[in-house]
Amino acid sequence: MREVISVNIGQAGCQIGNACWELYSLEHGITSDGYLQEGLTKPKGGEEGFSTFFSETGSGKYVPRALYVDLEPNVIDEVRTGKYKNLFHPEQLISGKEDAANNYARGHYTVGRELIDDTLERLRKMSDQCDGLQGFIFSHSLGGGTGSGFGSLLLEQLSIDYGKKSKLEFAVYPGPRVSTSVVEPYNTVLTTHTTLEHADCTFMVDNEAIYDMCRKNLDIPRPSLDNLNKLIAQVVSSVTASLRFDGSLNVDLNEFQTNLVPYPRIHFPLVSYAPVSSKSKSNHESNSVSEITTACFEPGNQMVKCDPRAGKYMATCLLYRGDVVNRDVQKAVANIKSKKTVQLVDWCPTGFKIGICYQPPTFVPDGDMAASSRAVCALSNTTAISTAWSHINSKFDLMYKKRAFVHWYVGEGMEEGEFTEAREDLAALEQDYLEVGADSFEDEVEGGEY
Amino acid sequence: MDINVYITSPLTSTEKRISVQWTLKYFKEKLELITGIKPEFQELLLYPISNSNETVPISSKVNLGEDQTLLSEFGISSYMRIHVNDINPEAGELDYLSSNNNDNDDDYKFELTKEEYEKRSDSVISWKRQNKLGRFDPEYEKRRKELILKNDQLSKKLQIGLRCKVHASASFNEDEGRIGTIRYVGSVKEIDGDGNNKWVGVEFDEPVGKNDGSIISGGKHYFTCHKNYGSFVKPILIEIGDFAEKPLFDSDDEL
Repeated sequence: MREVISVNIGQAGCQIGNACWELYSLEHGITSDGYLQEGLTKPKGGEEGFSTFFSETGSGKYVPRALYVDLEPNVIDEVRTGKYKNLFHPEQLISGKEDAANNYARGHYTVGRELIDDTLERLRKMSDQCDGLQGFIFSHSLGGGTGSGFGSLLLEQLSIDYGKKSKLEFAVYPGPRVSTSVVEPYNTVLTTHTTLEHADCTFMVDNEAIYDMCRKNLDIPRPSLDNLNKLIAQVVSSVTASLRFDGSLNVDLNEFQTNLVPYPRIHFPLVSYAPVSSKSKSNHESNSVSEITTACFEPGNQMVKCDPRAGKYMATCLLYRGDVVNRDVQKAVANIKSKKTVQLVDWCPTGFKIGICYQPPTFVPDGDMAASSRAVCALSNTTAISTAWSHINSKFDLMYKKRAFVHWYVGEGMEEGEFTEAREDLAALEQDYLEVGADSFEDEVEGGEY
Repeated sequence: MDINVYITSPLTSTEKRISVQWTLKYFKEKLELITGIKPEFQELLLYPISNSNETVPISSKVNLGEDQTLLSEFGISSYMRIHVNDINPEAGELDYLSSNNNDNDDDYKFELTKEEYEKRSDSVISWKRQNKLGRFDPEYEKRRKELILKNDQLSKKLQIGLRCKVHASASFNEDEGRIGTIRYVGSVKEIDGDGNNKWVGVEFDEPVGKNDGSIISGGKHYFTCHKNYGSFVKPILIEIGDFAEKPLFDSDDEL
């Protein structure tokens, strides 16, 4: 057995968690209260794959290997009273009374400290039930107080308690245009600095990119977080499918790092997904392997807004699901590689790795997405994603030069030095990405048209 | 009862789960942490109907005051939008955060100097240096020189007036290439000052280029053609051949 524990933190993390577990349950044939759907004799996905994400109680009930933590009660109360209230054991849902007030320092130091022991103890119990725990998958936001502050505190603690066990993150990254709170840039820079050495691989999701996809591809005029999270869940499910079903690539958590991360700090692959289309549009699309592959290299299908044509690729994993034949995949990939827009870093080995999981994607009954018999998720470690950092860094600078709202953090016992230390680390990260993109023969020898 | 509402302000936009049992005072304290606007300067507007600009002000009931007025008094329900305005008389306290404000007196940007970056032990440059990767690889400089030499040699075979196909990469591995005629071979000092690199000026059959034979408008013309018919590329991308001009009506386009 090679179990994986999902840890959902803060409002965004918990809500994404809800959407994911709804989908996982459907995919494996589990009802909303944890029993097998009628007509099934065993969960879908084979015992090995299924048990990585679910545990079985003596009474034939299945329980997600998941933990929810929020410093305030409102969001988790929704889980406690919602459709899936019987799926989880009450001990898996931890909430406090006082929120983090959008403040990293409260999530990391003052308020968060009060919940950390309890959280670690519950995780210990869950890991004791595992035969061979592989690691953890986190979902949290970088901009919120609990997601950023408590999320990074917990990641730090897990490094101490669980050593080398893999830690993957799905992190909601602030959109370039709108902020969810004024101090979002502070929280993002602080948490990224703290977690940089603790997370092995971080998949960022920018709510604005998802919002635009919901509007343009799914025809939802004013998408709510619920719409956004359903789409995110579909993507997360694609990434974890090979862990949960029989797949050929990334069947273990640490493979993500092996395949995608050439150097520990450069661990933020760009995620794209196709097809994303509404029920009315889908009738006009064939969604062939070649079409969905090409779509994955178009900006409209990316989870973070950036321009991959302006960057260089270090590694790419293409994870196909459903009705897919290898020959079509090879053809589609050869086509992508021949494009000038996909430039590889040429001083270190790079590659396109392909995974096929024959289990087709599942769609929630009242969802916005049209069902399709196949889908692909591309994970690309490209230097283009560094524009996300430069963006947030300059927003940080704009506020920090006036020390705006810094007193909120200092008031929670944080030292101002932590701001500069974090900012320096992110400046170094930007330079790291430049350094990855440097030393290219293409620039020097083939390069450029004037 | 808990509901989800949209909270907007001049600088922020978010969806938040709130309780209508909260007092207005408590709610405003929460809003300060989201919007950055102090409670005493918050003006709250409720948009009861989506897609309509009609608003209802949210302000404390006279007899109760902010400490006692509950949010349930205002008819807020799920997915309504609440907008927060800043009515601080010292207007624009947060203006500097707005992205359209570009006239910053001192455009402060945190800079990490090259020396400071080089000192860090966990950086990509340290990794490259330690493992002799990229330009730290002795083979790298050798290969780079070879390729520059190759470009130089290739340029000798290129003559003005020859028909050619310009490829996107040196491997020529895509089907399409742009067809044109060589108009210039040699150094272009506007591209690289030292003039060590050879460039090829091509006039395309169609307007798929970047210029009119000059790099800077009003600058030196290395050759002359219509706007967007000309480009300068490296010799390694050029394939010489007897490429015919595309007929005006290409039946293949229909396929």
